[in-house]
Amino acid sequence: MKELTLEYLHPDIIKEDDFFNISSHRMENTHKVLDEIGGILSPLWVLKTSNGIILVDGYSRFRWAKNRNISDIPCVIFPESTSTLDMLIKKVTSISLVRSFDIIEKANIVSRLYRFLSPAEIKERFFERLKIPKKPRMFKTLLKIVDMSEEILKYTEVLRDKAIMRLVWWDRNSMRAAFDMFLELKCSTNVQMEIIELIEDISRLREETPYFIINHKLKKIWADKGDFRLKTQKIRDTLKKELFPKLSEREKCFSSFIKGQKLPGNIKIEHPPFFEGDLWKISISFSEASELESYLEKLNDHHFIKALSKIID
Amino acid sequence: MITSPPKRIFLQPEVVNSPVVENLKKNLPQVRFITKQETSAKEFVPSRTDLQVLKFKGRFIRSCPATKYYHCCGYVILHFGERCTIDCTYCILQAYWNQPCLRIFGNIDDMLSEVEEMLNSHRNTLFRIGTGEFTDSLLLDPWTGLSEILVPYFAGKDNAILELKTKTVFIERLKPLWHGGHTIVSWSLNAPNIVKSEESKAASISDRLLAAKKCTEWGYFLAFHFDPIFYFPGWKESYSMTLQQLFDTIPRDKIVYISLGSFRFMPELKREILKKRPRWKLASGEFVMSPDGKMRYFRDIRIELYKFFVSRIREFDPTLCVYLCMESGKVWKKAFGFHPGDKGGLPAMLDRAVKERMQVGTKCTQSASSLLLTKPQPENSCDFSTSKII
Repeated sequence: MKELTLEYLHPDIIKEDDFFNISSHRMENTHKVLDEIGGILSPLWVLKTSNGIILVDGYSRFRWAKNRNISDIPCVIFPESTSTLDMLIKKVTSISLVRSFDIIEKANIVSRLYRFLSPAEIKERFFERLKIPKKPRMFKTLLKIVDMSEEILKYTEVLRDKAIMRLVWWDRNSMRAAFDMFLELKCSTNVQMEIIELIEDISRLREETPYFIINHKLKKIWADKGDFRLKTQKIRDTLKKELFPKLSEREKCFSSFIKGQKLPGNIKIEHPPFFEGDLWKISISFSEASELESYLEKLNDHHFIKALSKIID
Repeated sequence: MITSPPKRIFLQPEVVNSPVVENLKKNLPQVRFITKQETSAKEFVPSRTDLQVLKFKGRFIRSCPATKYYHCCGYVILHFGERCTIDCTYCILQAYWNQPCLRIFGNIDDMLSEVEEMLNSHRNTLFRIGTGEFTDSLLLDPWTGLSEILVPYFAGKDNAILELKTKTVFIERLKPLWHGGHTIVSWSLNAPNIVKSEESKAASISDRLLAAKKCTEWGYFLAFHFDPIFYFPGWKESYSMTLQQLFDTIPRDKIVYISLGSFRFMPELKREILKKRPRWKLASGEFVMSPDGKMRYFRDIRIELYKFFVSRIREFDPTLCVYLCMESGKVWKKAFGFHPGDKGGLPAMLDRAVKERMQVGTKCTQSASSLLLTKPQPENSCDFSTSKII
C-alpha cells in the first residue's frame, strides 16, 4: 500500500463515475449524518486514471462537500496501476466490514461485477461476502432489481427484500400494483410472502394476471382508508377463500359446530392443521377441581360426542 | 414415446464384466463406453443423455419410505437404478437426485444374493418386490436386458413376486421369458390430457394398454397405478375415459390390483417445477401441508377423487383389489367405507390379492412389511361415536 497517498483535493478535479456509485439512494441519509457531525471524518477514495481522477468511494460525502463549497476534500489516491475491478472489490470489501448492504446495493454490485466476471464466478466469490443466498435464479433476480431500482426505491421502506426478489419476476404492471398494495398494508415479511404466494397461485390457476387480482378483486379492500391490520387480514381471508374454497367451507362448518355446542369459554377445541392428521385438541382451563368435573361432564355428553364425531369424520 | 438410448455409457471398473454391461455393449455397438482409467477426470463427468453403470455398495432391498401418518402398501423396493429420462413434469425424482443422468447398478450378483438371502431366511413371508420406485423399471430394458435376469429369477421363488412398473412399451424382452406367473407388469395411468401435457415423452395411454394386453397374452399379471391423480376442471370425464379404455382393453382377471394416489409433493418440488414452467397450474390449488411434510390436496378433495375412482372401478369389477397409496385411515374410510385395519392392514390386503389372483405365496403367513417397515403405521381407527372421552 506504499503507492497510496492521502491528499486534500478540490472537488472540481474529481470526476464522478456511475460505475462506482452503488449507494446513490442512501445519499439523503448520509447527508443528514454529515450535517450532524459537521464535516467529513473519513477520506474519499479516488483513482488516478489517464482521464483524470475518478471518484471511487464517498459519493454522498463528495456531494455534501460540493454543496457546501468546501474546497479541500481529504482523499486517498489509488495509483493508475489499480484496475477498475480491483478498485470495486476493495470498495465492496471495505464497506462490508462496517455494515451490511441493502438489496439495491447488492444488486448494483453484482451488476458491476458482471462487466468483468461470469455469473458463476460472482456467485462463488462474492455471494457469501455480500450475504446473498446462493439460490438458483438469484443472479438474474439481482439484475432485474437493478433494472427496476428506481421504482423499487420508492417502496423499500415497506417492502422486504424477499418480497422484492419475488415481485421483480412479475410483469411490470402487476409489480407496480403489488407495490402500491403493500404500501397500504404495511405488513411483515411473512405476511407479504403469504399474500404474494396466494396471488401467484390464483393467477396461475385462473389465468389472470396478478395486476387483475390486485386491482380488480382486492382493490376495494386495500385502497380503503381503514386500519391496515384489518385490511391485511381481509386480503388474506379473501385470497384464501378464493384458493381454498373447500377448506374454507369446512372451517366454516367447524366454527358453526363450536358455536352450536355453546361450550364454556374455558373449553377450546382445535382441529388438526388443515384437518390433516389425527391431532385434535381440547384444552380446558379451570381453577377448581369441581369446575373441571363439570366441564368433563359437559364433554362426555352423548350428543356432544356424536356431533364431534361427525365433524372429525 | 420419445426415448433414445444413452449417448455415452460411463463404467466403473468394478462392473465392466457385469451381465448388464455385456448386454449394453451387445445392444448398443455405436455407443461410446468410457471407463474411469481410459479417460481424464475432467471427461469423466456424465451429462443428462449419458448412463452410468456403477457398483452399488449399499442395501439393494429397501422398504417403501412410509410415514406413520399414512398407510403404506408394504412394497419392497429392489434398488437397481436411479433417475428417469421420461421427464414427467410432476416427477418427484427432479427434486430427489443431484446427479444429472440415469444410473444403474452393475453388481447384479450382489443384488441377487441379497434377495436370495432375504427370501430364504423368511420362507413364510410373502415379498412383493418392485423395481419402479426410483426409476422406470423398463426404460432401459431394451439395452440392459435386466428383465431377462430378474423375471426368470423370481419365477422360481415361492414367496415372492416381482413388479415391473413402467410408462413405456418396452415389453418385447418379456415375451419369451419364463415368469411362472410371478411377475406383475404394471403401468402408471393418467387422464389423457395429463398424459399429453405432463408425460409427453412417455407412451400414450392406448400404447400402454396395448402393451399391457400383450403381456396378458404372454401370461403375465398386471397392475395399474393411477398416481398422481390431479384435480382439474373436467377431471371426472377425463379419468372416466382412461378407466373405460383400461377395462375395454384388459381382461379383468389379469389385474391383480389398482392403486390410487392423489398428487402430492415436497414444497421444493413446486419451486423446481415453477422455475422451469412458471405458469404450471397443477401445483396451485387447494394443497395443504400434511404431517409428513408433503403438500397434499385438502382431504375433502382427495375423498372426492377416490370415491369417484372406487365407484367407477367397482362398476367394472367389484372384486378387484383397489388401494390408496399413502393415505390416512379417515380418507380410506370415507372413500371405501372401511379402514385398512378392518382387513388386517393394507399390506395384508395386497398379499391376499396376490395369493388369490396369482396363486403365489399361498402358504405364506407373514407380510414383508412386518420385516421391513421400520416406521410405525397408523393405528386402526376407533369408532368414535361409541367411545367415551373419560
